[in-house]
Amino acid sequence: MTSRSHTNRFPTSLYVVVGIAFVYWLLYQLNDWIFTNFEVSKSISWIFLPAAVRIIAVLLFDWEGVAGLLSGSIVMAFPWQGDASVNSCIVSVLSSISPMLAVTSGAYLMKTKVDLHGLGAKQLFVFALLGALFNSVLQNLYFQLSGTAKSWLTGLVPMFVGDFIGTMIVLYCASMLIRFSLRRDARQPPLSS
Amino acid sequence: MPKKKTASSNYSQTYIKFINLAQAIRELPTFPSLDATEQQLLNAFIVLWNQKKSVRVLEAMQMFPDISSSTVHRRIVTLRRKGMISLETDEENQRVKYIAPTPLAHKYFAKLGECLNKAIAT
Repeated sequence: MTSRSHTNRFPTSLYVVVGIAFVYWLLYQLNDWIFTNFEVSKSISWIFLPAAVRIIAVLLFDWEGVAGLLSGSIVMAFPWQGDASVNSCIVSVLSSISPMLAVTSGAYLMKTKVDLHGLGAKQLFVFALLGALFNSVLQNLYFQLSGTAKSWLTGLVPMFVGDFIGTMIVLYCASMLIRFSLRRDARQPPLSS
Repeated sequence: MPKKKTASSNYSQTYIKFINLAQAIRELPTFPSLDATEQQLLNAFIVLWNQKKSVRVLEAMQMFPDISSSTVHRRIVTLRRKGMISLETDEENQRVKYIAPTPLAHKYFAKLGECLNKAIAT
């Protein structure tokens, strides 16, 4: 019975992982296209839209979200690294794990319910902040240890700011989209009996 | 069977999470959300402010016959917390406080006016 339920769940999990990886990749391309001028390096930008996907994916799908982010990160690392080098794989793992750390610690601190009941704007701000913090600190710690970065500030600050602003931009766009669709639904004439 | 139920409950759990997340995203602050009483208070105040009249807190508490004075006081506190009004102390009598609109309140009414104009135009 157990194996059967796992077999039933597997394809859906796969869709979730592929879907998240695709959305992550898509936002990365969009970010690359719109905010080229804000780029500090290929992996650091003052505005980084895909950071929102990290938090949302983990909030909704837990470890499936992490798997999706990891897949997306590794796929994105190929074109500019030329290969799946150990370095890019480690950065991908760190950027996929950091939202899980942010969500877990945020949920613990704010006592967020498992089904996200009672989640409000304040909590979303905190999750966005924690996501940016964990991601920028972890990645820059690795950059420092591996000797790929010269100083803390040049990488940490833009990455933190970029992740936070990127997350808020996406969340506000989603917010406007939801409000707009609700308003449009409200304008629909009532069904005649 | 119980295992199968767990798998399907996982999906419904994800859907519930999605609904709660969408609700939280929808509530991201633009203008603070006001309840009916707060709107009623603010509407009454804007009429007086427009007539260049000052509104004292004590006067405001007795201004609404259908709302108890303690409720009005509580709503004045929440309106202040939401940044829609500020309280200014009288220069001569420190115990007298006036309710004054904030720039956010002006923006709020400007937005309402804009919406009304749009509605009339359509």
